[in-house]
Amino acid sequence: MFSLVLLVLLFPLMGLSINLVFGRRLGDPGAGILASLSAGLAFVVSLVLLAALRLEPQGAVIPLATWIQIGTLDIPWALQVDTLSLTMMLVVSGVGAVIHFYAIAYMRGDPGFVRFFIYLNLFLFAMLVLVSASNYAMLFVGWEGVGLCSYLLIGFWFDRGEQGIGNASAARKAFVVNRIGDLGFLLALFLMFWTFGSLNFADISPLAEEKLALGAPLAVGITTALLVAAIGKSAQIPLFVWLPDAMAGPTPVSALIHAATMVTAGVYLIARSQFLFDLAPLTQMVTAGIGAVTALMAAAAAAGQFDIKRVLAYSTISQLGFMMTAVGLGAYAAGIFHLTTHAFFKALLFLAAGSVVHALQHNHGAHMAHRDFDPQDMRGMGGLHRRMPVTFWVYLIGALALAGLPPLSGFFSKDEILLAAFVDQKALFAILLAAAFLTSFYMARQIWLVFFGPAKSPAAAAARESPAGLAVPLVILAALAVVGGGLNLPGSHAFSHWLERTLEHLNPPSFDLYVALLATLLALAGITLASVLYRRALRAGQADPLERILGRMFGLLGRGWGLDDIYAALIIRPYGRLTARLADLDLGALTFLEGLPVGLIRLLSAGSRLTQTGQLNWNVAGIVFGVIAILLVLVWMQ
Amino acid sequence: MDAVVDNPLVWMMALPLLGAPLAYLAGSAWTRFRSGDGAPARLVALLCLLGAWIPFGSCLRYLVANGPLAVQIGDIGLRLDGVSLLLAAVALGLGTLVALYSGAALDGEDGQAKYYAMLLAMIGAMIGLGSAADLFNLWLWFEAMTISSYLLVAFHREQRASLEAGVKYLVQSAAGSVLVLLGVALVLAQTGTMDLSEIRQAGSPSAALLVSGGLFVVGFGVKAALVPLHTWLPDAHAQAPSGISAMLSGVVIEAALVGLLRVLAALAGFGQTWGVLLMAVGAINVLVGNLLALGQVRVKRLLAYSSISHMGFILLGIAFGLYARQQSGAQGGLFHLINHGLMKGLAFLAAGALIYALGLQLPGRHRPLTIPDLDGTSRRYPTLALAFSLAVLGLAGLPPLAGFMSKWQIIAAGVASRDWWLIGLALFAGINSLISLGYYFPLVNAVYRSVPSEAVQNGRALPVTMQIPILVLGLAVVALGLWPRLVGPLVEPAGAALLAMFP
Repeated sequence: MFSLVLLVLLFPLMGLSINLVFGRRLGDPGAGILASLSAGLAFVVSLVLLAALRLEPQGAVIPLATWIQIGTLDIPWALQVDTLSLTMMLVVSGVGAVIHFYAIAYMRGDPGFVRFFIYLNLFLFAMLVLVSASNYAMLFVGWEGVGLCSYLLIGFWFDRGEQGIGNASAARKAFVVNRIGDLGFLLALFLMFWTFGSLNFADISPLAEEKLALGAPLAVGITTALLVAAIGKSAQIPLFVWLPDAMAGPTPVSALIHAATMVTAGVYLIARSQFLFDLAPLTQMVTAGIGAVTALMAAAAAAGQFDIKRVLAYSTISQLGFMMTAVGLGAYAAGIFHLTTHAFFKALLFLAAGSVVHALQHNHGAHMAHRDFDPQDMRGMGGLHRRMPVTFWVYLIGALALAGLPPLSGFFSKDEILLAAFVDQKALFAILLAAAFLTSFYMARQIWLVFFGPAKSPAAAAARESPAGLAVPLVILAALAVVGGGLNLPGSHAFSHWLERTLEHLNPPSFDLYVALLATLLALAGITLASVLYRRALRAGQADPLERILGRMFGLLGRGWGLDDIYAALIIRPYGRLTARLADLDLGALTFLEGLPVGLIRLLSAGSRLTQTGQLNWNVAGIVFGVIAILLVLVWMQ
Repeated sequence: MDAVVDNPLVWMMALPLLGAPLAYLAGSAWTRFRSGDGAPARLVALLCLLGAWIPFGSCLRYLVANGPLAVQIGDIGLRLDGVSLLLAAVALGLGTLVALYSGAALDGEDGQAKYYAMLLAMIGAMIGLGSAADLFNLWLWFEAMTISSYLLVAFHREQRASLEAGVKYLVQSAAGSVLVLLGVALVLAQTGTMDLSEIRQAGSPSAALLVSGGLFVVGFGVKAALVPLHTWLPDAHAQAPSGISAMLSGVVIEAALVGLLRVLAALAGFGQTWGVLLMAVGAINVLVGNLLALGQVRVKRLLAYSSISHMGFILLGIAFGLYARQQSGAQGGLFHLINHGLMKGLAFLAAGALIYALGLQLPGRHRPLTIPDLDGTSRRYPTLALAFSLAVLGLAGLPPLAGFMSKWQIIAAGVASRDWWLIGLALFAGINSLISLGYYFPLVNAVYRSVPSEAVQNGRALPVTMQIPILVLGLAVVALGLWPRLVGPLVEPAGAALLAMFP
């Protein structure tokens, strides 16, 4: 029964293969429908697996083939079906299918329509490999695969952006920054093989406790390397700089890859490596600390953005920080729970933002007067709640779920994380509370800027509700964002018990009314503060009151705490200077050194050509001399 | 007599040899009714060569199952072992493709019947040379091969350059033959026998035997293009019809090397000496061939010079095997012998196809093919351009082509010997392989230029009979690079036989 998991991988692979061969003939929207169908079928199979796993909760490992076999290293190509991997499969294929469907309408008429869906299916395949892997090597294949797809899709419109290369450089930045994380992953792979002689989860899990003591340096080393990998992929401090720029990709990509699935791979990796992290309390503490600080700083940065998608990007970083804190605190179920609900409401927010951008862009086509009009700039929006009611309502639902208001899904998952921090680390709890307050603040700010007040551009004034192809997926995700919390209601903790089949000693803390109340009140306070500020400002026609209140601090937030500038000053510019020096050296001294052997060979060649006289007499004389020479040599050798 | 008739070795040799007069007669008879003696002669040649594959298969099966096979026909002793079978495989394989290819290439020329007759005779003589069991017969086969190849080199007898090449080839070959004959006489005087295996037992290591060995090295060395005895090669290989250039570079010089190894093996007691000598000559060949090829603009002449370098590689592999007593070096050298036959054959056939397409062989327009003529060939002849590039890159030793595998095996064998001299030579060979890119890459570069040369733009279409041999060889160059084990049944017994020859 569990071998059906093969189909989950096979459907996206089939979709992309068919599109690769016949895509041009299927065209627009045929190729998109095929791709969505393959994603949907993968989800349906995942549902069947869910039913199967309910009957046999221990799951199974489905071996497919021997992949690498060198000496003692034996890495099979085998798929893991357990509650953790299946949860991820359901999220990936489910949310993925909805986003695929949305993209059919969103990408309508784009010249790269077929290519887009090939990449999207390829991403889905790689992501499913990542979550269904039964060993770290396979996981790494998926990890690199999603990284590649992320690169391809961020740079999907590679001829657009600043000076025509803006999007391409954003894609490159994402790729390069992720390499740092990948280095961590590779180090972890080597260390694990060196320590355990295997890379299979099933082998390492029992060996870890046997070979490593609690807090052993090796355990800390392996987990730190894994943490570096997770920090890269899940955009935590100090490597989050690539994610805001990644918004250059089409919005469905931002929703699928850079909000719902790929960026959560780091959280998944840590949860999957529980048996290692539980042995390294130091790494766990660092993980939780980095997560909490990221949550706070990114939330603050989100409040300084004017690009509708960049707000959501920083919000994603912040929410990933929440998840990292959770897994760092050992509250794996809370982390994965928040990962799931976040996939719902953040995908919803991105797709709804895409709907707004789509409406403005298409209206902009009719108003070519403003050539440098940016359809993602919130300063050109306003008053959209009347003209785009469906989009407004689903956006509001998403925002409130993100802000963590009961009874929406975000409330329950965030509350579990806060509670875990409250029980374990009071300092982290305080940081997270502040982040939660800022979350509701920046979301309310965004709602006010986008949907209320007067229209601040002709395109916004003429915007119309998006077609049903965009609206239907929004409604589905909105419904999920509302009821998603039901997965793990306090009291039943169904989700935690479900994950307990795979992860160990989760012990969900019982619901604490005061923590919940405090979080809710803070969220409401954030909303109220934003509403008071922006209601007045919009009425007065001011740009952004924060700019006045925070002064230069606001610019710093807008630049994401200036981390990019620091990298430019510390690494990029010195490296540029170094390469310029080396280039000088290469063109000067080394070219001369290269020239020496080349000149020598040329000289020898010219010399030996002189011997080829074409004179027969001389040649025959050469034969006779040859006899003498060889006889002399033979005599000398004896 | 039954034993002779039933013997597959005899049939493999007899089919081309008997086919030679038949092809000539068929061509001459045909001209009484219709003009052009090429078609019937080619048909006979192809039938004989294809037919020879049947006894070849039997020989291969026999060798794998029972080991070496000997047969005595009167005074002629023949012995089939791995080395002779390997030489027969290359000669027959390349010969069959060249016979098929030559139909279009020689279109409209005189004396085609003689061409096919001589081609068959040369192939038969080479198979005989590979399996001769006594010294005198070996010399006879060697002469038969030389004479038939001489007529083929001078095939375009109306052209001055062709005649000049023929004369140079003849005179230098004759000088070499005389030296070989002297060596044979010396050996006979010393040991009183001509049988190769008996010589080894009869003669104790003596100065006279050593001298005869030196004479053999020089005599056979002329034909095997050992530097400094190579001076005839660029003329002969470049002026011959392209099909013949393929045979000369691909098999004939290698056949001479096999002959040399056979006679040296008989002079027992000097195994190490010959190993060292061949190693030194090989290293010089590798370098000098490269240096001479570097400045060339004429494509066929460049390919001819590179053959000198590749002979060096083959020699190095075999010498590593003999000196360090290891199978892998000898196998690498013999593997490179096969690969060089395929790659150089392909390169010459492709160059010839281009000469045909550009009409450079036509009367009045005769001129050599130069590198600028190759410009943009890929635009008009994509398959031909790809095959030519595969051949050239394979010769340069780029993975994953056949040439890489064999060069790599040779170099690896040198390093594996753990002898500093051999490691140094292996390194030297590697550096030379790098230098060879200096003349191979410009060919590929020219072929893939975006603007076709004027000659290419006005070129004519290639007939299928020319394309098939080129495609077959191109596939072989790729296939042997990916699965070198394909020729394992040929190379492994040959490597073993080679080491067994030098006890």
